[in-house]
This record gives sequence, structure tokens and C-alpha cells, in this order.
Amino acid sequence: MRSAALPLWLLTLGATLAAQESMPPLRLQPFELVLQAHWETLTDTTYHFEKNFALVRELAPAAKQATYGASHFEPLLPPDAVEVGALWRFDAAAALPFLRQLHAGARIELHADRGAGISAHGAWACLRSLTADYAEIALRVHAEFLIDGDGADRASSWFTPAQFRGRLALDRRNGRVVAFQLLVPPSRANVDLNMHTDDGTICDIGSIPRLELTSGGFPELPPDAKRLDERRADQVLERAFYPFADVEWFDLAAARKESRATKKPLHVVLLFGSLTDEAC
Amino acid sequence: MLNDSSVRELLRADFVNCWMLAKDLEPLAARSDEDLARLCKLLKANYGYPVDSVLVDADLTVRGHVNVHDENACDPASYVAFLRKGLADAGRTATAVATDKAAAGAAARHKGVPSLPLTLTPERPTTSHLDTFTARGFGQVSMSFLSIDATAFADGGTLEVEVRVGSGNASGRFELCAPADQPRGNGKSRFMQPVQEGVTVARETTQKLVHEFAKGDHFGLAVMPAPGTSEGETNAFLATVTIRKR
Repeated sequence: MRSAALPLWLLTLGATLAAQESMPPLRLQPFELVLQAHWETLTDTTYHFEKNFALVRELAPAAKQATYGASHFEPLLPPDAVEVGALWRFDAAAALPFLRQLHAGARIELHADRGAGISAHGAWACLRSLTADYAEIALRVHAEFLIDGDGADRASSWFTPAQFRGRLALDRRNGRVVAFQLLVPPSRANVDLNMHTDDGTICDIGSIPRLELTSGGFPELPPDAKRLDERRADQVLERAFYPFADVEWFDLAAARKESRATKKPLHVVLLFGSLTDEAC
Repeated sequence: MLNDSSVRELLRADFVNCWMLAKDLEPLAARSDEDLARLCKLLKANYGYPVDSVLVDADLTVRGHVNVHDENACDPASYVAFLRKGLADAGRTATAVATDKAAAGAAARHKGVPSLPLTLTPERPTTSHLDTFTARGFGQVSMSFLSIDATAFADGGTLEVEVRVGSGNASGRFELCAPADQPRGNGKSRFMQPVQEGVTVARETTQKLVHEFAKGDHFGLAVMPAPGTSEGETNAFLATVTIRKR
């Protein structure tokens, strides 16, 4: 029994390895994809900047609709053949053509950093699923919009989303991106605002319900497709930007319970925005 | 600063960690039992805009707080000191002591202080070294080199390096190196080269590297993140170096 099973096992393993080795890198052929832009008004601010500043209240997409081609998406793909769960870094500047459809002042330098190393710059991607026909990639990009001024300190106003999350579906049979989405994930505090005034720069934080570029229509993958759970993909991308995210972080009630049980002191970080994004 | 490996090790080992929006403290207090409401009030009383870290003992004694705008608040060494003081005030001892030493070693190296060679003698044939490795970005050096002085073993011996990698995410790659002669013009120059395949050591595992040598000399341990480590990932390692005489 054992001698009969072993060659079969070896054959199966060999076939799997051969399949992985022959899996070609993701490549694109010429195509066009139209993205629609959506920008809803900021809400839930602490200091009501959306009411006090017309500039904030009237923010809207630079272009409601724009067409993109293979050259725009190529830099987002993995440089080599990768498996589901693989993580790679790409040049955040590759996201700028997309972000400029939302606002011409898109920047990737993150002005709040000022060389201090407190901001998490860049862009990361991870392969979420792969079938013979389709590949799906999850993206995370940190960028912001210069909404007034020339970028100089004390003379500029900034709209800084917590993060941009992306989703890209590629049809491997014809090398076309068939669906794409780039959005600020909704949350109670997902935009930081720095407004230049005659009295100096003032700050607020709020929630943007929808700030998004989308093509719509993501393909349904077969139920047995190899895929990374969305929550796990979020974690992988989050830890790429913030290594401290691998420390266990509790909500306050759970933390209090754990502290009482273990007698370990609480270490509580209180913020104006989120610890694991750029909205604070 | 929270990304610093020594800070993370201390948080992981000795604290219960939480982050939250300061503006959620009041509503949470309003819907919580007396104990949690008291904690919310203590936190609110110790919060300063925009980011504040507060240490609270299990008996709800506040052991200190630091604001992001405080001097040196973003310096990892200062944050480690803040955490350690909070622990000491709470009457607790840090269990992440090892990493603290590792951080000190790493900090010294980053400031350009060369690490001293590990000198072994027949009287002191074993020693250990605690340090960290970090996957740095393109164009930045991720490899470090630990020099081992075994010149006191004139008749040769066996060099054993046991490497234990810490609980961070990153795996390390370790190469034992020995001097080799390279012809150069009419003479020759000496350089360090690996004497065996590099060994990858996964987190929380131990591996041993062994090298036989015929006469006393200088050796080295090259330390780097294992292939596939993401930029910024880091881990601590403990290298125990032993020489057995022939």
C-alpha cells in the first residue's frame, strides 16, 4: 500500500511544483478601462471645516470619468511570478495618474512628515487570488492632496486621507485589467485636514463616506479559487506599512480585562485619528 | 517610534496594548460599567492633543504619559525608558530585557560605533552577543558583521556559533566567515569569505554553525535578514560563540 501510494504522492507534488514553476508572470496587453470618480462631502468633523471652508465643502473629482491603459496598470503588477499571499512594493508615484483624476494636487511625499520619519510612505500590493483565468491584487497607497498653496509650510492647505485601498482584477487569458477600484475605506475618522489661514495652519479630522475611482463589475471567482481572505490581505498590507501592527492591540474593554487577568500594565495610545493609517 | 524593535518587544512582552480615538472615551464611559468608566476618565484626564500614550497599572494607577509633542517623544530609546519607568513604578520587571541590550548594541552601531570583536581565550572559551538585524531599503546596508578573535587558540580548534532568533517576524541568515588569501600583484591580500552555506534561522528557532580551524585567527559572523524579508522588518538574535581546543 505504502509503495503504491508514494509514487502517486510524488507525482502529485511534482505536478504541483511544475504548475507553479510554469506559472507565467502577470503581463498586460493593450486595452482601455474607464474609471468613474466619486467624491462625497466630508462629515463628522471635530471643528466643522466642511461648513467653515468652501474649499473643503466644494471638493469634487477633477474628472468624473477618465480612460486608462496598460501602461498605467503595469507598474502595479508583481515584477515576477508570485503566489497568492505574496507582497511586493511598488512606486507610489504609479498611483498618481489615478489620484489626479480625483484632484490635481495629488502628492506622495506626505507633508506632515517633514523628514521626521513619522509618516509611512509608499505603496504595497499583495496577490489576493489566482486562477487559470484571473488574478486579483489588493493595493494600499499613502498619498494626499494639496488643495491650496504651493506646498510650502504655513502657506498651503492639505487633504490627507487615511489611506487609499485598491483592488485590481486581471483577465490572464487576454492580459486585460477587467476591473479596478481605488478608494478611501470608509471609517469614522479617515481624513486629516490642514488649512492655511491668516492666523496660521489649523487642523481637523473627519469622515469621508465615499472617495473612490471605480470601473465596477469585478468577476466572480470560482468557489475553489485559491484566495487570501480580505481581512488577512488587509493585515498583510497594514504590517508592510506599520511593523508595530504585529503587536497584539486590544479594544479598551478587552485590554482592561486582559490587564486585570495578567496584572500587566495597560499601554494606551490615544489619538485624534487612527494609529495604523495617515489620518492623524 | 513604535516600529522600533526594542519598543515592540517590550510592548509585546510586558504590556497590554490598546489604541483608540480620544473622542471615543466619553461615549465609552457613558455606556460602560463603573470600572471601565473610571479607566476612561483617567485616560481622558491624561490625554493631550493630538497623540498621547498613557500607562495604567492593573489597579488603575496611572504610571505616566507622554505626548507626541514632548521632547524626544519620537526617539525609540526615550520611549523604551518611558515604558521601563512605568513598569518599575508598577513594581514589575521587564521580561524583554534581552532586546533592550540588543537595541543598545544596534543604536551604538547606527551611531557609527564599531562593535568590538568577541575575544575568546582558553580561559574564557565561550561568550555571547545580543543584537538585531533589520531589512533596510534599496541601497541601504542590511548586513552586519560580528568579528570573532580566536588568535589565542594557536593550535586551532572548533568554532561553534549557536544562533537563536527572537520573536519578531523576520528570519535571519547567518554566514560563518574565515580569512582567505587572494593573490594580488606580486603579493596577496586577505579577505573574509563564508566557509559554509549561509544558514537561515526562522523566528524563535536555534541553529548551530561549526567551523574547524588549524591555527588561531580572526573569524566572523555575517548577519542579514533572510531572503524574502520585507523592508523594515526586524528581529533580535543571540549568538553564543564557543571554541573547543583541539
